[in-house]
Amino acid sequence: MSITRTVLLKSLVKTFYRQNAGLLAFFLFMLLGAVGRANEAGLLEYHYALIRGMLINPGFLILVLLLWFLYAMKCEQFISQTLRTRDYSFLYTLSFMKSGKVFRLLLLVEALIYLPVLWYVLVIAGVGIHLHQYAQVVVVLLFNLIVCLLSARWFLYLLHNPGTNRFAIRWKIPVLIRRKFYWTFFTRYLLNHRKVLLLVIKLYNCSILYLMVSRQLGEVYDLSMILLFYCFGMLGHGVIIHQFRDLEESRLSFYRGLPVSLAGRFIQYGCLYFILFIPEIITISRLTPAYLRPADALLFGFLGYGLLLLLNSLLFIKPFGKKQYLKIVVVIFFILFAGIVTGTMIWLTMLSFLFSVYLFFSRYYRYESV
Amino acid sequence: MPGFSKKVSWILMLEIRSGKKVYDGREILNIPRLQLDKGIYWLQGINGSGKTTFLRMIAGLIPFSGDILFDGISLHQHPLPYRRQISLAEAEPLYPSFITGAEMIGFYQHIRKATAQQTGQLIHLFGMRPHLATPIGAYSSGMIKRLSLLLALLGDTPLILLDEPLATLDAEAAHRLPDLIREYHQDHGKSFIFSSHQSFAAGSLTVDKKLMAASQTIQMMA
Repeated sequence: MSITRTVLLKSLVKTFYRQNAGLLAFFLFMLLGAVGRANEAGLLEYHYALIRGMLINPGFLILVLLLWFLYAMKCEQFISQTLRTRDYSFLYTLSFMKSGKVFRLLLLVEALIYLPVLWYVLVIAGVGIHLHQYAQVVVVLLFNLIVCLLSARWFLYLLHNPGTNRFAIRWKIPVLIRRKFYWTFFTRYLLNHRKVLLLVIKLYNCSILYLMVSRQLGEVYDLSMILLFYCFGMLGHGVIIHQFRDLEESRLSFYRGLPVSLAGRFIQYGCLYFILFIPEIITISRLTPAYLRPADALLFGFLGYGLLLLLNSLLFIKPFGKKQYLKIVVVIFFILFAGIVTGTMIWLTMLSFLFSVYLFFSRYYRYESV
Repeated sequence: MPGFSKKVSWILMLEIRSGKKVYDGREILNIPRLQLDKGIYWLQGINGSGKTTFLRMIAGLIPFSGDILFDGISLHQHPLPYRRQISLAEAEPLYPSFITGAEMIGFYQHIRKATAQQTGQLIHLFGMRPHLATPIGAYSSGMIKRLSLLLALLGDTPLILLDEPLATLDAEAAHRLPDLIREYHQDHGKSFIFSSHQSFAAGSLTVDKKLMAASQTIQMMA
């Protein structure tokens, strides 16, 4: 393997998977773990039905193409941001090489970071050919080929034009708000750097909640499975929260030295996670009382918000790496699972609130990132 | 300069009691007792001697055993009133790249309750006005340093800690800083502890006392 290729793969591909391990684990679990178990049919039958649905229903196919496009945007965002950081500015030396060669290398990079989609596309193509849905297979293959080619071409353009940021969306927050409140640092970080991640998590959580709850019909009113998926989605926010704490320890460490009371600091986090939780609040409100009893709506609301606060407070115990944190999140998931089975979710909700407050107040000033 | 309300009396300012900092089981600093009166202090010591750790302890940025009192206010027992007394400009400050200088200053101004007049004057003194609307990610390291010094001076904190304030500053700013420290000390009764490997421009700043970081402790130099 050439040294240029090795450097590119280490700088871009390896870093991409390291940074997005949480999000990819989330997807993997949804595709292979949770979905297979939730559905009474086996894993293979489930995916066969899913792919068949994509190929037969044009609306569903468009939705899937849209999701792939979002993932491609995330890849683009990652590469363009990485190229802008000082640590990777040496990559601009690639612009001195022949464009054709650099393009091929960048195409390889794009193919590798787009791999989670590509392998599923191959499965879809196989099923499509088996079902004689040739036109749809061509659409799927062409779409992804164009995405890869255009992305590689765009990366080449970025290398030849340092500092370009054509697709950046600037979010405007009123000046008075953004200057006064600590939580605005995090919301702006999300809107500037983690738009796709936020969109994916919210899309999953709200659609799961809406689709599953709205199917509750008449006498059959069992929220167990819905609660399980909802808890999974809420715990998926851990990916964002871990990144918040990274940001805080690396670039917002000055805040600890500022004269703000401990309660005031907790309120800032409370505001942040309330804002983050608004899509779920809207979804729950839309479902109540037609599909969701008011008492259950309150349970969903407090449980979700309590879990966000708990996930945040846990990160003040000590600096947890992503893997360690993921293990803790999995343990919480199993505790919640036990709570669903034993019907003790109300107690667990209260406990998560109390524990998050206790952890925060007892650990905040004792925490040290090194 | 407007924006300062109280005159500080020349009495005991800072007291460190059994201050101990340990990293991974290794003792970095052990200060059984240290008392500092109000004034300007130059903290010296070789790389890795614990200067930055000492300043971060005083600023309340890192946990440690023992206690630090400012004018009798304990850091551990009264974290909020204590933090109103002290500000720090770090040696290598880092801020979110997507925040503009104006937003950062506005945030500090709000929390430190600094007057618009003082803020405006500091912006002018540090030559920050043309860069206010620029995201910090586009700043040079010298500009980030200027911003951090401005933020440390913002408000009415009686003790200002400066960790390597001259590092990455250009000659013009480095020349102006001693005058600013002297003005803040003489006219507004501010105290300073700064660490620096470089000495300030000859004769421009009178240092009351020197502190030495060595052998895992901080001592007053004779």
